[in-house]
Amino acid sequence: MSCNYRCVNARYSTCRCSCGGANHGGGSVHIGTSSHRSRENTGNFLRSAGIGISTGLVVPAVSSIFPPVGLVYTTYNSINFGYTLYKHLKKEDTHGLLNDVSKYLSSEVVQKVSEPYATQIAEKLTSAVEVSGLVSDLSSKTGVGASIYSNMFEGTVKNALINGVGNLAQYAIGVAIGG
Amino acid sequence: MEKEKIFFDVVGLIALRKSDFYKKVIEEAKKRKIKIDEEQIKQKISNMNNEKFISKAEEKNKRLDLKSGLDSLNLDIESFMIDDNMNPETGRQRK
Repeated sequence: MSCNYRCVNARYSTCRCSCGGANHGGGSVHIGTSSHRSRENTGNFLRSAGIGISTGLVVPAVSSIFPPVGLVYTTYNSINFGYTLYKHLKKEDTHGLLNDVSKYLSSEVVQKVSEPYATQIAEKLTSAVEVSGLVSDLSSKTGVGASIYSNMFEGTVKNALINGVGNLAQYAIGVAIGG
Repeated sequence: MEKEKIFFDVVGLIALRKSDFYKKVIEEAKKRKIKIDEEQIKQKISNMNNEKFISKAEEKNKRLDLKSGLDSLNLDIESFMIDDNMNPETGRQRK
């Protein structure tokens, strides 16, 4: 079997493909640590997963991890949620925050953001999301309180930045493709 | 743009699910007539490690049920009880 993204992002210790373990789990076979190694390099992950793995897979991927639940799913599964968020945030991005997020996403090595700065970015992104009207729209359609969603969004972004923004996307895709 | 979109897809959807989970905890506490600090629970769920949150959902057959969620938060809703004489299972006063 030829080596592909499944091997590179594998979370199991046994390699069954042609690389003989050289690429397995991010470079080498280490029981119990391969999942962490596989997430070390966002750039490599996206390149290795490039063919066949598009952003279009991410929403179904995350939805498959979290199965359909009521109105939240029916309202937002069929639209491009990430793109909508990004579009609004870009419009409101007067502080270069998205550039900072992009910088961390594009880095060859997963960078982690200090907690105070992560808090600052998360707060500003959340304000921008609130201004966009997306939160109130979400609230009216799903019954999830606007302040609850804002709070959860802020905490999720902050946590993602502190732990390395690339790690989260890699992890979600890795789970979905069963690596 | 491609990577940013992935990022916002993922954090947006996780935030939605955390919101769902928060609602579930609050509803369960009300059903069991347990008094809880809603703000404290909201902060704990909001700041919960994203990967851990996903992992818990995976472990439980792709459902993030209340018990595993509370376990992962290291949160015992009984501990939020104000009235020590209340039976958390029935919501009634102990004799």
